[in-house]
Amino acid sequence: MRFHAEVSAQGGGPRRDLGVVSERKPWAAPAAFRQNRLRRIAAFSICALLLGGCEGAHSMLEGAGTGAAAVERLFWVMLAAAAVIWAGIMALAFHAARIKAQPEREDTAEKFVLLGGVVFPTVTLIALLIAGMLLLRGMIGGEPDLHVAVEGEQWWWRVDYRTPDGDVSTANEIRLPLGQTVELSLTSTDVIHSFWAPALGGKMDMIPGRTTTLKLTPVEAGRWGGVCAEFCGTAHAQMRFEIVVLPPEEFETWLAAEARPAAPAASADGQQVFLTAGCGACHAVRGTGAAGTAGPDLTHLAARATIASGILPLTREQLRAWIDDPDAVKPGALMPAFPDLAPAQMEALLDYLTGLT
Amino acid sequence: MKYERIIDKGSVWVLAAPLTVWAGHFLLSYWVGAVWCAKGWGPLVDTRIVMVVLTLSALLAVSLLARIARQRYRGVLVVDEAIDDPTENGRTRFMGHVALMLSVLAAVAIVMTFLPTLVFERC
Repeated sequence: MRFHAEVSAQGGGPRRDLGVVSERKPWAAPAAFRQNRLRRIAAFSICALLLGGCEGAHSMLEGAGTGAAAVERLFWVMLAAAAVIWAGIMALAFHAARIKAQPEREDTAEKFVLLGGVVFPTVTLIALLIAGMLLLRGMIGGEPDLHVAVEGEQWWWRVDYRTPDGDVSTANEIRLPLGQTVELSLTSTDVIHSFWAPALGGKMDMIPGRTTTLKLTPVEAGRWGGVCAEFCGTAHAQMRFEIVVLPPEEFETWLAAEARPAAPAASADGQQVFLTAGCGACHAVRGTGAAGTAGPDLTHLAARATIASGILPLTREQLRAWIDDPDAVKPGALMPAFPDLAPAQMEALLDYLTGLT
Repeated sequence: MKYERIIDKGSVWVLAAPLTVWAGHFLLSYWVGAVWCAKGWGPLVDTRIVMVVLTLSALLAVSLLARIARQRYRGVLVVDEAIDDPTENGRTRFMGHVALMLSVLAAVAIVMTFLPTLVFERC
């Protein structure tokens, strides 16, 4: 966003100047013209600098996973090769426009056209095809160290880990151990979604009735962004997730904590509200009897950083707004609104939920 | 020859044939891949062997077509030769020329369709 905004602001400068120049007629105002050119050069340099802004949690140029690093390598090689070919063709075009026709050299020209226009592109495309396929084969990789099941649902992500201490179900936040290869089993319950964490690796469709797999090997710790990359309905653009890459020990500690039942209720009243208001019909909180599976498992809700599928930070206020009217926060959200909770009930419920560490 | 007009003299099928072979090869590659994976016939006959046979047959068919095209074209190959004399001979040579070029294109396309099966082993 920042990139676009600043580029267009820069673009505004030369345009205004053009207006001034045209009033004074450009051929009569070489000084203004030179100034204009300088500005243009400045604008280009700033663009180049801003390209350095192609980084962040959602950037495929971050190289936070081996898959993304491989794709990035291919990207730079292709970009460089395309730049060389483009420059070569432009140089040829200028050359061709300047020289005199030499009919006696027609045979050479024909051979040149055949080699440069048919043989070269064919060989280049085949080489690119092979390079791309080898890269894809490399990304399929070997035996994984860990399995995680991810299910796309309108409009959030169900994330399941299988541990010796029992199954762990969480949502919209996938924690992975640094340096280990994880195999994600991807599926969907309703429509086609697509799993994409650009900083870590490739993109994979999630298709109802089928299981697709994607392997990721994170090589950089941190919080990385992910999105649904296949239009899946109203809240498609708000169907996000985060991948949290942790050192293996921290990951194990976290997973062990997740496998435990919910912490003792921080507010007994709140738990009562949770159960009587019907939250448990859709949400599970292990150890309380609430075992709904339509919505995200809330057993360790407070351990997560976001709500509403990665679009809002998990704070008391955001949680209140969400429960009060999910559709207002995230248009299309399938969770019903609970506007009838008395203020005291809401506070107790929020105490309870934020205590689910 | 009995059906001279249909199979040889002045007929245009030789133009359509090379790319039809490519299309058939493309379709069959997908079908074979899908059927072999669905039925689990991999251990019986390696998918890649089937693909190799399929591809070699397609290339053979295209080369036979190229031979027919070559016979019609006659003369030394010039890629962008303009054959525009309005005679029976000119027409035959023109179609032979085009068919020959299309055969080369079809052969390249068939090889490109085949390449993924060399790189990927699994279903």
